[in-house]
This record gives sequence, structure tokens and C-alpha cells, in this order.
Amino acid sequence: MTGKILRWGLALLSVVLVALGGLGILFQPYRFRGSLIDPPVPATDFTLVDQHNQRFRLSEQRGNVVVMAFGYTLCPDVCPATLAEFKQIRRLLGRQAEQVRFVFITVDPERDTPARMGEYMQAFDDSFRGLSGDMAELERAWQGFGVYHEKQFLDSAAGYLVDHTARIYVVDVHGNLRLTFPFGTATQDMFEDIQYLTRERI
Amino acid sequence: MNFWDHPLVRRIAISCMIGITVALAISEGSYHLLNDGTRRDPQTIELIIPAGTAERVAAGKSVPSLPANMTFVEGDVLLVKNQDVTDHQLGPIWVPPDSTGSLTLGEVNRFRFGCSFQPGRYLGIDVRSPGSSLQSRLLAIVLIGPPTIALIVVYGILVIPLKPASATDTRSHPLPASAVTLPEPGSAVSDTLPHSLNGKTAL
Repeated sequence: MTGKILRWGLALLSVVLVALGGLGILFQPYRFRGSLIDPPVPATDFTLVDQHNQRFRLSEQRGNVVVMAFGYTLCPDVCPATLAEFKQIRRLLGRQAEQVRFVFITVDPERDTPARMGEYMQAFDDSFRGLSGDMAELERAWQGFGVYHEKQFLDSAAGYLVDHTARIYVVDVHGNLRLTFPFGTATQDMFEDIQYLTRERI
Repeated sequence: MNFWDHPLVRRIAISCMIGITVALAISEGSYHLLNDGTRRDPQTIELIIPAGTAERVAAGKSVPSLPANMTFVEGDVLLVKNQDVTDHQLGPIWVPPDSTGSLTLGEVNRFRFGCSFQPGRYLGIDVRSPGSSLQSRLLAIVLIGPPTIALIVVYGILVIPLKPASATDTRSHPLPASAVTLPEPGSAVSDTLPHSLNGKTAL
């Protein structure tokens, strides 16, 4: 009798262990593809103006995910590629894109006026916010996000190029800097991380 | 009859144990024979940027540097703790001051990134396949196990055929004497012997 109970007990235990293993695989915590900042740090606040001369304050975006990149409109390579990725991510997000703000902040305020930003954003998606503005506020944003930028003067009509950080920053719905994506991260990976963050609530 | 006492069930249970042991031995044996030291399970690699690093870099002083090229396996988590007062970049990971940045290295590739505290300002990251991870070793056991068990069961049945269940029953649970009707000596056997044996040879 004892042997029978033991055998059935072992069989039951095996079934329970297999079931728990399966549940463990199903409910694994989400693994971010981007570089995770943990614990998240409050994102440096700044106030700039967009291409429509509308004020944009980062701290007022709470409740939305903010995806940010730094660049300039005459950038020959990195910036068009980044904005093309933004456009693709926005398309993949579908209706969830309403909870995401795509922001492009200039590192070349001398040439990137709101009007020029407007033309540039039009080429990608007019819902993207192309920000420029007060030098002190720009400095604050650059410093807060560790943005490197340096002019490289050329003997050409372009005048100069600007070497700059190509990283993408993601601020979560709580206003915390949560993720960064190095340049070259797969669009699908960025989309999945951003989509995951849009599901969070304040 | 008890389910577990059935000869076939016992045979299968024993074959399962032997099969899994053989699969485990093959999987682990080949893993350890082929492991050249670079194959390992993904793990978390923690790096600390101590306070004052940026100051030392600016002053041209030596800083605790990393090897210019680092080798990881797919699935490794690179965790960088920045204890300095300024942000730092280590390859793909940018870490604000007094915070931690982590990245799961999920793609086999060789990267070259900027690094804010390397003497050469660049860092090479080599991400390799983990080779045989615990998961793949378990998968190997799952793949090797069932065919091995099936072969052992078939081989066992061919070499040591199963005894008829009735014979086993009689042996393990002898019937009471009253249940067996034996013919009286000298009496006709036609009623007690099977029809096929009545006055003929069985085979």
C-alpha cells in the first residue's frame, strides 16, 4: 500500500514539476533588447520649441513614452537613418503610437531653425517633434543626456559637419530615463522594447 | 493486477531509466570532451567604473582599464555600475552618473564601440555562440532519450521475451488449491485438456 502511494506520489510530483517548468518558460520576465538603466534615473528636464514654434517641455510628456535622438538637418548619414527607423517604429506601433512622442533635438542650433526643422520633419513624419531653441536649454539637454557634438569644418559647400552621439534615448511614462539604443540596433528590437514600455501605467 | 506490477510497465520504466542515463552520459560526455574553455552558459558580467574615473582620464592619469577586446557569449548580460559623477560609455552601454546600465548581448557578432575610459577610446566586443548551453544540453537529452529508450525496450523484448501475464499471475498470486481441478489418476482427460491436445501433439 505504501509503495503504491509512493509511486503515485512520484508520478504526481513529476507532472507538477513539468507543469511548473512550462509555466516558468511562459511567464519569464521581459528581456529588454536595448541598454537598460536600472534603477531608472529621472530624465533631465528641458524646454525647447518644435518646428511649429510650439513649446515642448519634457516633464509635461509624462504618461507618454518619449523616444529621443540628437542630430542635425544637414547630417549626411546617421540622422536620416535614425528618423527612418522612427518612422518604421511608429508604423509598427499602430494605434499604440499615440502614446509615444518621437523627438529629434538639434546639435546644430545655428542652422536648424524651426522652419528648417519643419521641412526636415515633413520628409519623414510631421508628427515627429524637431526641437531647437535657446542655447542654455539645449546645453542643458545635451549635458543631461551625455551628448557629444563637435563641428568638423570642411572645404565644401556644406561648411561643416557635426560629429555627434548617435544613441537613441527612451524616457518612460514616469519621466525616467529607462533605455538607450546604440546606433545600429535592429528596428524590430527597438519596437518591441518601446511597445513594452507603452503598456506601463503611471 | 496492479498497474506498476505489469511486466511491460516495469520493462518500460527500467528502459526509461537506462535510456535517460545513457542520453545524459552521451550529452555531458561529448560536452566536456569538446569544450575548449570558450563554451559556457550565459552569465552576468559586472563591471564597476569607480568614482573619480573621469577626473583621472582628464588629468591623463591611469585608470582601471579593461582589455581592449572582450569576449562574451550570446545571452550574456553586461552590467556596468557607474560610481563616477559623470556619465560613461562602455561600448553599447551608456550609464548616467551613479546608476547602472545593462545590456543583454543577444547577437553573435564582433563590435567596435567608443569607450569613455579606455586609453584607446575604443572597445572591441566579441560575442560568440555559447556552444552548448544548459538548455541545448537538456535538449540533447530530450532528443537522445526517447529513441534510446525505444531501442532498449525493443532489444529487451527480443533478448528476454515477456512472460505471459497469466503465468506471472500464477507465480506471484498462487490460486487456492480448491480453484484447481486436477483429473483423478486413470480418468479420461478429454474434459480437462484443451481440445487441441486431445489425443494429438500440441506442435
